[in-house]
Amino acid sequence: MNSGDSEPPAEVYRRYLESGGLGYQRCAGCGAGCGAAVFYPRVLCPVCGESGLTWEISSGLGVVYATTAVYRREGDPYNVVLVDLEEGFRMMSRVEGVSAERVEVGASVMLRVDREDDDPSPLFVLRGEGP
Amino acid sequence: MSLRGKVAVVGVAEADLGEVGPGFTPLDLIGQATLRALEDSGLDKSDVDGLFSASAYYHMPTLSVGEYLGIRPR
Repeated sequence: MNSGDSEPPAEVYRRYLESGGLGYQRCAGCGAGCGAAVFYPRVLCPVCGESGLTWEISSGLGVVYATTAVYRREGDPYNVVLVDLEEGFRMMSRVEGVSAERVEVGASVMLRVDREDDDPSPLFVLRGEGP
Repeated sequence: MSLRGKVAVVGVAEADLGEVGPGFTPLDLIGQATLRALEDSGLDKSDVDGLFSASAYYHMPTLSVGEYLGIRPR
């Protein structure tokens, strides 16, 4: 049985990213949804279980919830963060443009979609500083 | 101690099978099956207090499935 009535969430997410936007889902469920912001993309709401998730585009503005610097055997360490987006969801990413140790909890960040690879990646830069 | 009369299968479902379309992750299919099994049983997700999972794709799949579905077993 193939329902075919919904697109793969990861595909929709990727399409938004390719056009420069960070897509996330909102639980709407025919008006009965709980309103939760849902990320990463999925087929049902992890809060209330409704399947009626609608897509929205994030402003890309957020605040660092947690940060760490990962040291490689060679080269500079890279940063890994959890970012709280202003729409109410949290995601893992990297803050680029500054050294990994300079990123602090509570720092204001904004989205920058990285297109160096075939798959676009949602990264962040510190707000108020150039990319 | 016997489980007779204390345990029942109350909902059964399958995810899409065969060509499910590119881009559906194994977790998406688990989510599909969960939605349908809950509908089959007449229960809500909030009624679920236990979770068992097996997967050839994920390492320790119950953790990933618990996060995806938003189920925190007792």
